[in-house]
Amino acid sequence: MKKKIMIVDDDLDVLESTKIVLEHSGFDTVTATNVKVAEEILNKEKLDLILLDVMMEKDSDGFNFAQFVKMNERFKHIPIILVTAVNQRTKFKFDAKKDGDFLPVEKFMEKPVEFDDLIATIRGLLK
Amino acid sequence: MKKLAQTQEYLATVAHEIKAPLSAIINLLDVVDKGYVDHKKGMELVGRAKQKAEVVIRMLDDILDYTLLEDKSLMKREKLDIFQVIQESVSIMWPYIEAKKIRLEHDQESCGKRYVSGNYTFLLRVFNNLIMNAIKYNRPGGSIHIHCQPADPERITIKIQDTGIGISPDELESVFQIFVRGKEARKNIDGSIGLGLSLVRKIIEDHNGTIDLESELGRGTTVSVTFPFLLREK
Repeated sequence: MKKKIMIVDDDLDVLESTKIVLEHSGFDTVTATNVKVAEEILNKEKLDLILLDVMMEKDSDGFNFAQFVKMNERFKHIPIILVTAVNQRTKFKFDAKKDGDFLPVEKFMEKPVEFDDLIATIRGLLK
Repeated sequence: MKKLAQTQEYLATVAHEIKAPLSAIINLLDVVDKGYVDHKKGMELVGRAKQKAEVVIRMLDDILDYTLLEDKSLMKREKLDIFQVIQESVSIMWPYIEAKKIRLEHDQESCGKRYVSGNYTFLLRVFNNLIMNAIKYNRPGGSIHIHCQPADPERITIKIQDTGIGISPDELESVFQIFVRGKEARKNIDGSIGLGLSLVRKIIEDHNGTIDLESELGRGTTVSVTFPFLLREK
């Protein structure tokens, strides 16, 4: 059975291009352009991974949603990849071991995401 | 020290705002380049990448204009007929108005022969921006109404009214801040940097004018721009 990935990003072009690549690589996908829709999908679908843009309507939307997922017993097992163009703004270098408590995600990737890297990362997390 | 921190924050935000659409362009072209889609879909994605690139150009133009405003020596003023400026702006925007089948009513009678002292390029920029917003956030088949009225014996107000998505009351003031767009506007994802209205207000204030917004969510927005008269032709 195909693994299902939810892609959350408010940019429709990023959403569609990522969806095409993931489906071409053998994954099922569902998409959301905001955290409200993402939450609805989370409650309805059985997800294997979440690909989440950090900044949507508000700067903190992506972070807040990631925390919501990880603090919820039903969903905390779902790996999250956080994607952002904001890394250089904050000089934030994510270290899963060091920063795991603050940023409850499995991986932090910087835009533009190289699709080959993304697929490799997803496959690694879903092993 | 505070100014340096503000400049750094500003530049970092600008960099992020431009990086986001550029990342989307790279993603779209990557999909086409790697052969994930057929030719027809590929051409569609290339077209979208081009539109995104045009958005980046507009962002950079906004930023450039914003910084140019700081140089007062570039703000050459002349006697301008407000109607002529609006008319020029409408001509520039006409393809977008037609494409969205918007009905435009421009009250020439109320706007004609009203003179202000101003910089033509920057005032044209004001009306291009405001009319473009009225188009962009309007419904297909909606309308835009432009008319002028005296605010008092010494000033004229130009009103641009649209039947668009509107702005919520709690966001009305903040839309003039740099990089802020209303929540409903952000749903019309176009990558715009949110610099437009802050630039518009800065230009208007440099012309000793004022700008006000009235809006109702789901019904539309009226922008009122007021300038002092230079002189009025009888």
